[in-house]
Amino acid sequence: MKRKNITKTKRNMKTVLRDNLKLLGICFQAAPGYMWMTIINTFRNEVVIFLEFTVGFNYVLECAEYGRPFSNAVIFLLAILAFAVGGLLFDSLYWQKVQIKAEPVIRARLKKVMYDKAAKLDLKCYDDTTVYNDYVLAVSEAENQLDRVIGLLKTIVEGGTGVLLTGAFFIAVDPVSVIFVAVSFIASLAVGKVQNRFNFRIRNEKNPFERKLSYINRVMYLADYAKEVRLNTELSGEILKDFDDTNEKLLKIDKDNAKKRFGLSFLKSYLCRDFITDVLFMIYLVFSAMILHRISYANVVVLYSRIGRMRRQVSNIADLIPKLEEVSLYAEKIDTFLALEPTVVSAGNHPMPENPRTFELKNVSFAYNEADGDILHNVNMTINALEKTAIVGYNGAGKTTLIKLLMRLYDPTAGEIYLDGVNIKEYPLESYRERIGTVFQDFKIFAATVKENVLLDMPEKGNDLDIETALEKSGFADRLGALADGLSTELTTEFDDNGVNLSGGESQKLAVSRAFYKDADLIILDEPSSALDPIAEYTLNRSMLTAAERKTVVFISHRLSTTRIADTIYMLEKGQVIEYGTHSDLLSAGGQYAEMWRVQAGQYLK
Amino acid sequence: MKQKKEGRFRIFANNAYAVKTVWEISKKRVINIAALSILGYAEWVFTSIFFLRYVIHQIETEAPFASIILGIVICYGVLLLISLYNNYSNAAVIPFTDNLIRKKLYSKLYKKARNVELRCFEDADFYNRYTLAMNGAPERMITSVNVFFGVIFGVIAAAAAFYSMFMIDKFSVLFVISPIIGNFLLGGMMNKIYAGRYVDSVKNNRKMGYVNRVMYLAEYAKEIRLSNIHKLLTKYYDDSVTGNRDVADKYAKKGIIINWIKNVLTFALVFEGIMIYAAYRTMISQTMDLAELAIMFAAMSTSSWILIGMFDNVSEALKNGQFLEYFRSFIEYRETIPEDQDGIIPEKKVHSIEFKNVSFSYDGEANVVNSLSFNVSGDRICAFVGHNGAGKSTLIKLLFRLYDPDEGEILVNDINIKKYNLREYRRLFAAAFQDGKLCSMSVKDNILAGEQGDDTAVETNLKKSLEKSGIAEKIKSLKYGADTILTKEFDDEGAVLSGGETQKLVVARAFAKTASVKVFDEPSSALDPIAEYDLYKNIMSESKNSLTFFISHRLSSVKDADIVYMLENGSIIESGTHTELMNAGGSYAEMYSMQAKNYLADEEVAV
Repeated sequence: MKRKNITKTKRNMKTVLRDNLKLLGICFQAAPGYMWMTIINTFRNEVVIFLEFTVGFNYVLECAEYGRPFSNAVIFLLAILAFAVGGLLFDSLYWQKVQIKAEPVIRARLKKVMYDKAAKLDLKCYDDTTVYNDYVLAVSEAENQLDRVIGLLKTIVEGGTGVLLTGAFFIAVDPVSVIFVAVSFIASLAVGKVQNRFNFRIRNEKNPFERKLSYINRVMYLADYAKEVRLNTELSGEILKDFDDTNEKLLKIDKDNAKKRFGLSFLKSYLCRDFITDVLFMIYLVFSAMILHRISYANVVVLYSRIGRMRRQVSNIADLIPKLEEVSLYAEKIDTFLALEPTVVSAGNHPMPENPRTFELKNVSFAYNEADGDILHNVNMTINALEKTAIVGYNGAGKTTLIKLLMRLYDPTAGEIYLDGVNIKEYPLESYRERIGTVFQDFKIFAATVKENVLLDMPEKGNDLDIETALEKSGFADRLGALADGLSTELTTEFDDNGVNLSGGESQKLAVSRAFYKDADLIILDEPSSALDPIAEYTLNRSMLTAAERKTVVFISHRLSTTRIADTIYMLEKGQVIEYGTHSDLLSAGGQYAEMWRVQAGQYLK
Repeated sequence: MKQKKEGRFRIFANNAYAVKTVWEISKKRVINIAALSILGYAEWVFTSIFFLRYVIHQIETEAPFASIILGIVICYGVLLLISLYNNYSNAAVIPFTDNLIRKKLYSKLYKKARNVELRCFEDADFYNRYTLAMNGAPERMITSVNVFFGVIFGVIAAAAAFYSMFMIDKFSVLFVISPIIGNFLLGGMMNKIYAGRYVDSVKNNRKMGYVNRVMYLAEYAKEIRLSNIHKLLTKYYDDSVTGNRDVADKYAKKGIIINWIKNVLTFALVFEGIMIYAAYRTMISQTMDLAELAIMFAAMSTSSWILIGMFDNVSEALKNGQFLEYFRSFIEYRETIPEDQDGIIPEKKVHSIEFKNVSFSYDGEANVVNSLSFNVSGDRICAFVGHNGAGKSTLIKLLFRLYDPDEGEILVNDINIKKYNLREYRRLFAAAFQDGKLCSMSVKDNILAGEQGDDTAVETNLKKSLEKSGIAEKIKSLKYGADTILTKEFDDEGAVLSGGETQKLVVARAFAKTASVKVFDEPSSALDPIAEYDLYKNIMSESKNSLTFFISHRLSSVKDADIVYMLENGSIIESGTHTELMNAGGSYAEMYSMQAKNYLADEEVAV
């Protein structure tokens, strides 16, 4: 699912900083205490290291060199020790409690905003692959980016403190030393810039092949494909060959770029860094100590051993820019996602009618996107209150899309849908959808209890008796009786190893009971019986119709035996209603429906 | 206690296994890692202690400036060579061998995944371990090798640093005991706390992962919009957050104190302790001179950081040990039905299939197939019907050797199918399942799935198969016809097909495959009536010259089968032609009438 297909573009530094600060803002809002403690602890740690390795070393060495009393050195060191030991307690408190407790809170802060958004967003966003991919990326990367931005904050505090303290020490002892660090820093920064550009280019070049590899990986490990892979030996051979080829292509990219990579990394790590801060600096130190007698032994040792750390911190800061840019890229995805606004919203606040009323579709057209053209075209339909309406037609005729419009998962691109003479957009969306119970062909069972699965809501919102009745109506009663914990039985083994996995038919019955439980005015059944055997289907159909006696029902089925009992049957073809009427009307009309019926029923005739 | 020891040993063994695995793939990389590790430590110890000692000594003895500079230049000349090697391996050795290791390691995993029996994929525990083994395998393997050499050479480097301290002052080395106690004793206690925390939060983390998935997967989007399940899921998430915070609290007190003592022993006591001790030696007892004092500090700081790095390496090895365990147990898993099992090469033509008292259960409890027997021979069309869960699909899976029966045997051409070369045996069958999958490649590649032959024969085969499965027109309407790539995974112009269309292509694949036996498992569940009718007609006419099995809920479609088997509770309860079964008036007749009744008035039910 995770697919990183971010293309790198040059980013404005201001935007980069703003994006990073925004994420940090979330962290500070969610756990201000933790965030401040992070800053303090990082700062404290740097101070201790500075005191121990720079000031402490230097002080003791100087005490010895200039013959100061031993007690001075001891008192100085004990003071540092006390500070260090106290600081470590603070550090322990930070890592062992505060950090662990704050992390989930910070994540939840961002995640929940995203989830709320995801639940409200137009279904359309899921159809648009670009939007959807970005969304998936935003969700799956949110946690990492929060961690990273906190990590960057630490690097800044650590580097800043270290550079300032050590820098001040260098200046106090021997200001010229700072020049070595500065030159090395500027030179590495310049080479680093070229190196970053080089790395981005390689990453972009590799991207399509990496995607291919991750796809192959998915095919090879997802259980869905396991059966095919076993039965079509040639198929998996082909995929493995593809895998080898793709790897070869990636290797070629690396080979083609090896020389340049070597040159850049040598330039940066040796010439800009080691050569200046080791070779030249050492010669300079020896020269200053021996010839000029400007600095002491102690200074030589301390300056030499500290420049390494100083150099590391400086280069950490130099490496920040690409890291900030990367966080900003993801932060932008998160932002874009949060900025999406649903278009399917309540346009008015018209109270919902108390009882089932008539639905009317007037010249309804709908297209998922302009390129693919209309899925539904100029559809007119009346769904009378309390009647049973069937929608039939070939695969791809637009049946499922039509009911999605009825549920307001999408709004028509042209035309209107009325309930009780009022445009359905005028009703509050939530209460409108509450009055519709739907069983989808591709319904889902959630990793929750049986009760929660029927309710699809908080368990306290429903009473057991009603739920049991609903389950009974859908034919689930026997299975329920066999469950040790009854309604409280956990379904799926997702996170309860004792959870129960229902078979396809059982799941379907459970899904049907959701519609029964929901005291809806309109029940929509989208091929609910496709996974059932004939007898189970027959029973389900019968019970559904009895249960829905005082409700309006719209159903889609391929099995015309199921739809024949409908009060009105609409036959769809290519997004248009081509015939409608009762079963016998349509049969005597001798059109497409009659043809379809003949084919299906004819098989049962001699 | 004993178990713990075994656990430690196992982790060590697993890391050695990783080194061996990488060694087998790329000796170059292992040698490279070893060389980098040796050179890295050598450079570190040398520059921070010995080189410094040399320089200080020279300054102290007031050697001529030029000779010191010469010494410095020679040293750095050697270090320059190390740096050249470092950069060479960064640019060439590491990326190239990374590629090789990834290729070989994943090939190995994929081949194993292909080779284990299907049941492994259904065993949640096994499957979990498999996905964990897959996750970042090359990186983790390489980490193991790094850690391995890091520990070995780290010990040597630390010893060298201690030696330099020992040479200055024998007792100074005693201070090293403190971080060793700190890390081994208290580090072990901390590991227990980490492990406990991990175990306690597993369930919460799984819950959060689940909520996350449900919230972003498109297949859940409709239900979320039409119900309040979102609230329930948010509550799950909140509960998990609270749960994890409680877990944190549970271990906080112990963790804070132990970690504190550990760090005091590892860092503070050693640093300040040695400094005070060395200052005492220099200033009071005067057994150490100034240069030695300076070197002592440098050596102490170097050896401490090497030790800290080594402890980090060890805990990295512990963490990696668990992953390696998954990897190893997966690769070393002994297949019960190895896909590459060799055996008799079957005859290309299947004359007979016989099930003899076959029983099978998925969980070792309830039999899904129960003492089932039948025998078919010749080119016949056999239909299997029955209620949901009667064992129809399982029977097909047993025939394909996706599972082996618990009892009884299956004979093809009078030979137990376990005796055949499995790949060759599977080639006898072409199958279309109701949940058949298509891959993200062209329609043509999907249908032909590696079928060989000369170009015209292949083209005709493709065309015919698409026609017979009723999808030819749709494919023609695609921009690149049969060369159109399926899904938008890699190709923005790729075609996204509906459920019905996918099913037709899956059937087309079965038509296209040259196989003696064709099997159709509910191939029409997503099709509209006309498409379904046409499909069955084509299956029937196509099957005249081969043995065909098909499973269907729609009894009207089995009427023309040569023989119908009615299954109930895993056994065949009735068999015969449609007419025979209708006349017998048993379960089949009842089921058929029930279905037909919906289409016809009762008295019209055809017999």
